[in-house]
Parts: sequence; structure tokens; C-alpha cells
Amino acid sequence: MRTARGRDIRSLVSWFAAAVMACACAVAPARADSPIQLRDVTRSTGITFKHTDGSGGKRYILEVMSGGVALFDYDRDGDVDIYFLNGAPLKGTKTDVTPTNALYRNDGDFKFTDVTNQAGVGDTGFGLGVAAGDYDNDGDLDLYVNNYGPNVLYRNNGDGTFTDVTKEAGVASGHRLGAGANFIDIEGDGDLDLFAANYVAWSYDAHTERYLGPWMVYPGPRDYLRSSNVLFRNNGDGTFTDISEASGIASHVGAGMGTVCVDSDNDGDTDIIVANDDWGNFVFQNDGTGKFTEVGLISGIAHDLSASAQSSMGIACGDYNNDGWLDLQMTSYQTELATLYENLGGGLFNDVTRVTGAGAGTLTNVTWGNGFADFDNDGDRDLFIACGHLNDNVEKYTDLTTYYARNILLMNTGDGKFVNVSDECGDGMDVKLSSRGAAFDDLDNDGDIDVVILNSRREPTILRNDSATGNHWIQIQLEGVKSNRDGVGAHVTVVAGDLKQMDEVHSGQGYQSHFGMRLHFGLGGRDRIDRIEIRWIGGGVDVLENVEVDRLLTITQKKG
Amino acid sequence: MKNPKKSAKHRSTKRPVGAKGGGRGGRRVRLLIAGVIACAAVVVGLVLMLLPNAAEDAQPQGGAEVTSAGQPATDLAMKNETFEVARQLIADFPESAFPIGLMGTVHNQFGNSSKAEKWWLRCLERDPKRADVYEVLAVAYLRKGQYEKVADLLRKAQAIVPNLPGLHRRYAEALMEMGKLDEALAAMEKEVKVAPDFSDNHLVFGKIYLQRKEYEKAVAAYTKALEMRPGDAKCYYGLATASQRLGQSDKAREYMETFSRLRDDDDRISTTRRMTTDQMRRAAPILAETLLDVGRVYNGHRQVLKAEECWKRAAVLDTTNTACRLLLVELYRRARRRQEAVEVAEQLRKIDPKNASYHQVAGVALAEMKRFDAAEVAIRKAIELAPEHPAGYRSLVEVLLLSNRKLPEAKVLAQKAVELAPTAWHYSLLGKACSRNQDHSGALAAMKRAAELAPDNEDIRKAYEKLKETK
Repeated sequence: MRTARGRDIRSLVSWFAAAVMACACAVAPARADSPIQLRDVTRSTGITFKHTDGSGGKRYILEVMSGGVALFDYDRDGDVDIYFLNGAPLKGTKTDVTPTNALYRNDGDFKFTDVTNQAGVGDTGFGLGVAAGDYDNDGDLDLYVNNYGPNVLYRNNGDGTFTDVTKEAGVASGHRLGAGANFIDIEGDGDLDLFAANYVAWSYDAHTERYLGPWMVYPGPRDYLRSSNVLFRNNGDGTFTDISEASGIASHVGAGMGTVCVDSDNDGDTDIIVANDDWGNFVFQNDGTGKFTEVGLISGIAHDLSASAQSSMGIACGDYNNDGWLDLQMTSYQTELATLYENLGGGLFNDVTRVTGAGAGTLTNVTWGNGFADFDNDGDRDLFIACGHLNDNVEKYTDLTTYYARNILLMNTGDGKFVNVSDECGDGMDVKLSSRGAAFDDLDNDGDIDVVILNSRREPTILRNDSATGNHWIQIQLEGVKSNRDGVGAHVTVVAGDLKQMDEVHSGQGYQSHFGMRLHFGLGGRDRIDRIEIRWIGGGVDVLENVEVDRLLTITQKKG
Repeated sequence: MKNPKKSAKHRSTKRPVGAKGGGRGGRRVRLLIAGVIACAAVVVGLVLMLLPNAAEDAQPQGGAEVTSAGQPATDLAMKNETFEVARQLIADFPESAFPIGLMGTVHNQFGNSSKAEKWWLRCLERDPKRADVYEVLAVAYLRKGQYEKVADLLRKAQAIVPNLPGLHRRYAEALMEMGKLDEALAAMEKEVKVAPDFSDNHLVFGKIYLQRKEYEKAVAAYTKALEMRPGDAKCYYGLATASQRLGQSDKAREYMETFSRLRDDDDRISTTRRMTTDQMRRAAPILAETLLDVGRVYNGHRQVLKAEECWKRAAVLDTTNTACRLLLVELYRRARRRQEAVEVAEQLRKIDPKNASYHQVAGVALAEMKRFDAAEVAIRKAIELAPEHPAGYRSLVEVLLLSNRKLPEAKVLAQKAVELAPTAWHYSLLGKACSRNQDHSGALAAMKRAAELAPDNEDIRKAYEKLKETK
């Protein structure tokens, strides 16, 4: 007999079923519409780091910069570790615990342990940019941190600890507002020199208060004098010499943020690209001897298609169309598209943002960390872009953007175009924070590229790549002998059947971050590599043929 | 009999925590409730996890939200006043679409594009022929990067006003943003037929050709744009980019040097460029602009006092606003409140002393007060500032004829006006000047030409007939 009570129960059952369905939907794994699937695994990694921008309500400009993140294998145990930069309390801000940068050792299986103190890399300066490189060629990666205030060089002792050697190395670079950093072999002599970008000439005394209507907002770079950047030559004995003036680097002032050192004209030496905030970007063209000429304007990178100097933030570098030339993508401010510059060869670039779709979703966001990575191993490089506004009160004066924002994933369709697949790539792309530095590498050594994002004022985001494409891949770790130890600047070409790809080893890239020293190539269905060619910086070419896929391959430079 | 539903509810809510229930049904209910609670907890937990943007999270870490001292109250009051003014206009003209569109604009200017869109759509429901509203909606979507919507709205605007200058260009730009260069090019071909001499059109052509890697065509487009707007930095940048890709390095370097120089000049004045991109403006100028539009509506409905009130308030709010002052001068002249017209015209001259038209306006107002000397000085200043513009000559002729002095000069000035703009009005003025100088044949010829140019103008026809009769 049907009773009212029975109906109640059935109604509850229905409600419960609906609730369960709702829960199931909420915790469902990745939506399976895209071959790229990124899962947010932050909470299970053991990472407890939380970023501080040192803010106390005064709105100092460096707060918005926040900082970068480094992915590098500090202990040479075969997996990639994470180094987060942190801010420091600014004048007027009180904290109970002094914030420090943090090093997390990768224990495998996406578990990490905080080893900051035992490693001795817990710098308390206001960290902005970072690069890793083996400047003393002793087989382990050292660390350079570009701060507001004195910079820090940590020499890796090879036993899991570092020593602060800034003073003896002579690379503190005074008391400036730093940005991106890079190790680069400027003259191909086999040891790594050091480039440090600077933002603007900021100090507490120079601080400017800005208001939009009634709202106090952060000032912009044009409220301050521009800064020059710094280049240190490695003397080969653990010391460096400041050659900013002699090299031509210091002749140009801007508002540097992200940087990358890349052979932009394929002439065998490494040039320096600097993303300037609200000024034309720089291309410091290397003459091969460590003398640089700034050619940003004529190269087509300084300004976008509309002749506007964008508020450039991060620089992604990669050959998106597999034509053998490294292209550049620069992130920018809200109302500007993150801009893709196609390398035409001969040192010339074209803004191809619109015809490629590489600016999709970026117009309403302030965009920061970025990187090319073949997330689905299909043989072309996709684009990841980290987003988040700099004014935490932006929603009070416009509804066109938000302080917390979802990041953007643009999938390369293989025909020189990108499509925005952010809504189809799993819960990793649902995270809504104010992101800054982003870094990309294979954290669990399973052959696909994972993501680490530094979020301003918040915990980081760790995204595990769960794409199940079945595609093949190879990762290449270089070991220089005559060239610098990790092959920084080396040019690697991989040919598998009809697919020819190239990449270059970079120390420092994206938004004031460091990642990707193990080069990663997706190969699609190709299960054999016909040829790998390495053009070492400083000269020499090595070739390997008939190489097996789906592995990390270490290639040591041949002698002679 | 007890209501079983009520009874069940009563039991479930009144049951103390941990109390045991009796019977299978009760256990099932409790299990279900427990399940639901667990589920709800999961949902709440997930919501909390996914809701990082709680207000307190968005605050600076070591301090409170900061606003400028004394600003919020003033700004808020003006913002409220702006909305009140717009609301009142809707109440006063409930059948009109314009006030509804204006409310959309107000929302948009205060950074609320979503509400703006709703009001604009309501405006279109009221008057679907408002091409301008489709256009502002398109611009709003352009700022959001929703280019398909932009293109759709502009197509609707084009259907209403096919040849409105700028519509095809905006459409082409939306297509270009979507990477549809062929279609963008086709739209631009239509635009140049509507406005062939507008430099921005050729800049867009240049950008399209650069992206198509058709560098020679890009050079031609940028060259044309530069001819129309000499000294434009963007033209030089485009020319440099295209020339470099054509292998013309020397030319490219020259263009780039010019661009750099112009850009550096621009750098010095654009110290707050980022601020303007944030779309936020102070409330006072928004209120002033709103009052300007509201005043126009009242004026259009012959509610002159209300219009005057709006424009006077706008002038107080925005001490550099010339549009409201021009409207006030016109209003006072029509009402023969000549002293007030002169006073406001003098404000215009002070705000922008290099603007010839403000001196001319002041001159005309002074002449109406019969202050001919002062009027002549003002209009001669206008001619000095804009010697190639006929308006100054025309006004001076009128003043000289009205004051009956320097008549030979009036004839010369009238000839100059005709030379610069051979309109019926100017020929008619020349006719009058000739007539006053006893040059009957000159007057007849000029008036004949005026009549030919404006055959429907009754005044000119009568003047011509009268001249013919006085042979």
C-alpha cells in the first residue's frame, strides 16, 4: 500500500540521489572533452608553502609583481624539485614568522618534502626572479635569486646543501628592484655568465599613491624612472665581473620583467630578450663575443601589431609551428592580448596573435607566467598562461575582470593555430587564484608535462598531467663537456619520420621563473626517432640516430 | 487525523541528537538523512575549497582596504546623483528609448557592463532601429573579447544604417581579431567607400596586410594613412615593419627612427596610461556628461529651463567641459539672454584659447549685444587661428554688415569665404556685401549662384528677385 510516509521516503531517496549526483559531478575527474587533462593535486603533495607579497595596505608596486618559481633537480636524483620565491614584509607590515623562499624535494609520486632549512636556501629577501645553472661546472645546479635588495647566489655543494656565495662571487647587484634572471654563456667559453633584469627605480621614498575614483590602486611602471639591466661575466674562478656597461646592456633602460636567453636569429650565439612593462621589449642581439646591440624595434618584438608597447610580463619561448625557429609569446595587461610573435628568420618576428588564436581568453585578464609545452605529446607545443589581476579591489570598479582568475590552456591544433580548451581540461583549470610565475616539467617522470604555479598571497597550484593519449615522447638531458655542463643554449633537433622539432636549453624563462632544462618532445604515434642533432653553444654538433622513444635520454657532449 | 507530512517533519526536526529511532522505516530515514548530511558536508566543503575569492582573501595581507581620504563620500554622492538624473529622465519620458539607452551608458561608465548591456537591450526592444545602441553594445563586447557577438551586433547596425562611417571598420576589426583576414579586408573595402579620407581606415588596411604578409600593400596603406595624418607614430611603425620585411633596411631604419622619436614624445605625456585602461573614471565628469545628454533631451522637448539647469550643473562639475557651455551659449542666444551668452562664451575662450570656433562664438554673441568692436576683435582672432576655415570670415562679414562699417573689407572677406567654401550661404553673403558696396552686377552674380545652389531657399530666392528688380 502506498502511504504518505512511503512517498516521503521515496522523495528523500530521489533527493539523495540527486545530491549524490551533484557531489559526483563536483568531484568528478577531469571532463574528458580534451585530450589534455590536468588534475589539481596540490593538497595531496605535502606542499604547505604560502606566498606573501609583503603588503600592508600601502600598495607598493613590487607587491603586484610577486614572483617566479623554479623547477630543477637540485640533488641530481632524477626528479625535478620545486623552489618557490617569496616576498618579504614591506615597511608597515608586521608578521609573526619571517617568510622565506622554499625548496621542496620531490620524493616521487607527487609527494614533496620541505627541505629549505637543511638545504640552506631560505632567503628572506623579497624574491622576484630565479634561475638555476651550473655556473662552476661541477655537475650540480646552482641557484640565483633576483630580489628587491641584494640578489643571492647559492652554490650547490652537491650534497643536498647550498652555500650563499653572493659576496665572493660579486653578484649582489646593489639594492635594486629585480625581475627575471638567466644563466647564459654569452661568448661560448664554456662557463655560464649571469643576466639579471631590473624593473623600475623604486624605493620607499619614490612610492606614489594612485587612486581610481575613490579606490586606491597600485601605481604603474610609468610612475617611476626606468632601470637598466645587469650582465655579469663569469671569470671561471667562482667570481663574476659586472660587464653591463661594456657589453652594451646598460645603455638601455626599461621596466624588465620576464626574460629569456635564446638564439633568436639562429646564428649560433645566445641573445637576450626582456619583456618590459609598458615600454618596448628588448632584444639584445649578441655578436658572439658578449657585446650586445638592442634591436627590439626592428625585430618586431618591441611593440605589437598596433605599434603599442604592451605591459609585457612573461616570455614563453618555443617553436610553435615546427619551422625550426624559436617563437616567443609575451603575456600582458588586461585589455591587451597576450601576444605571439612568430620568428620569421633573420632576426625578424611578426605578431601572429590573431591569425593563430594564441590570444584567446587573455583580453580580460592580466596574464603572467607562460610556457610552451606539448601537454598531449602530439608533436606540437601548446600554451599555458597564468592569470590574475594585480588590484585586489578591481571588481569594485569594473566587472570586466576579476582579481582571482582561471588560467588559460591553448591547445595547438597542429596547423599553426590554437584553440582555448581551458573548459575541457579537467579540474586543474578550474582553480581561480591570482597566479604569477608558472613552470612546466615532468614531475613524476611519466613522460608528460606537469605544471607548478605560484599564486600571489596564496598557496601554489600543482597540476598533474593525466592526459591518456598513448602518444610517444622523449626527454633529453644534455651534459656538456667543452660546453657548459647542462648545455644551456644548446640547440636540439629531433626528427621522427615526418615530424621535425627543435628546442633549446634555457636557464630562466616564463614570468621570472626557471624550468625545462630537460627538453621534452612529444612524438604522437611515432615510436622511433630517426635523428637527434645537438648544436652546442660555443661550437660542435653531435648526432644520434635511431633512438628509442618514451625515455629520458642523457646525451653527453662528444670530445674532439 | 494528523497530517502525516507534518508529523514526519516534526519527528525529524525534533529528534534529539543521538536518539534512537524505532522500526525499519525510521532507520532508513535516518540513514538517508545521514547520507544527505554527509553529502551536504561534502558539497559545502567543495564550495569552500572552490571559493577562494572571499572578500577577506582579497585584502592586502597586512592591512585594510584603502581609499582616498574624503573621496568616497563625494564620489558616491555624485554617482547616486548620476543615476537619479538618468532615472528621472526615464520617468519624464516613459515612452522614449533614449533615456533607457542613457541609463545603460551610465552603468557602463561606472564599470558595470553587465547592467549596461541589459539597459541597452531594453532600449533596443523599445526602438529596434537604434544603430548607435547596437554599436555601443558591440564596443562593450569588444572589450570582453567576444568577437562573434561584436560581429553579429555590427551586422544588425549595418542593416539599419548601411553607410554609417565606422561601422564597417569596427566590423572588420572584429573579424581581424578572429583571424578572418579575408572577410576583414572585404569589410574594409566597403568602409573606404563610405569614408575614403579617414586615416584610421588605412591603418586597419595596413594591419591586415601585415598579417597576410603582403608587405608592399601594407606600405601603400600606411603611406596613405600618413598622408592623411602626418606625424602619426603608428603609420611610421607600420612602414618600418613592412619595409624591413621587404628587405629595405635603410628605409625601415629611417621610419623606425621617426617612430622612436614620436613614441618618446608620447611617452612623456602618457604617464597614467594604465589607469585609463582600467576603465575607471571619477564620478564628476560622468555626471557632467550625463547631464549634458539629459539637458539635450529636455531641450529637444522644449523644456528649456530644465535643459539650462542640467547644462549649468555640468559646467560647474566639469570646469573644462566645453560642450555644455556651447549648448548654453546657444540657449541664451535663442532666448535673447545676450549678456549670459557673452559670459559663457568668454569662459569657452579661456578654457581653450587656441580654439578658433570659441572666439567666433564669442564674437557673434558680442555682436548681438551690439558690442561691435569687441566682436570684431574676437572674430579676427578666430581667423588668425584658423585662416583656412570659412566660418571666421563669414561671421566677420555678418558683423561688419550689421554694424555698417568697413564695407569694402566685408566684400573681400565674403569673397574669401566663397573661395574656401562655395556654398549658397557664402554666395548670398557675398551678394549682400556687393550690394552694400554698390556693386550691383557683383551682387546679382553672387545671388544668382546662391539661388542655383539652394533652389529651395526662399530667402535667397526673394533676395535674388529683389536684386533683379532694382536694375
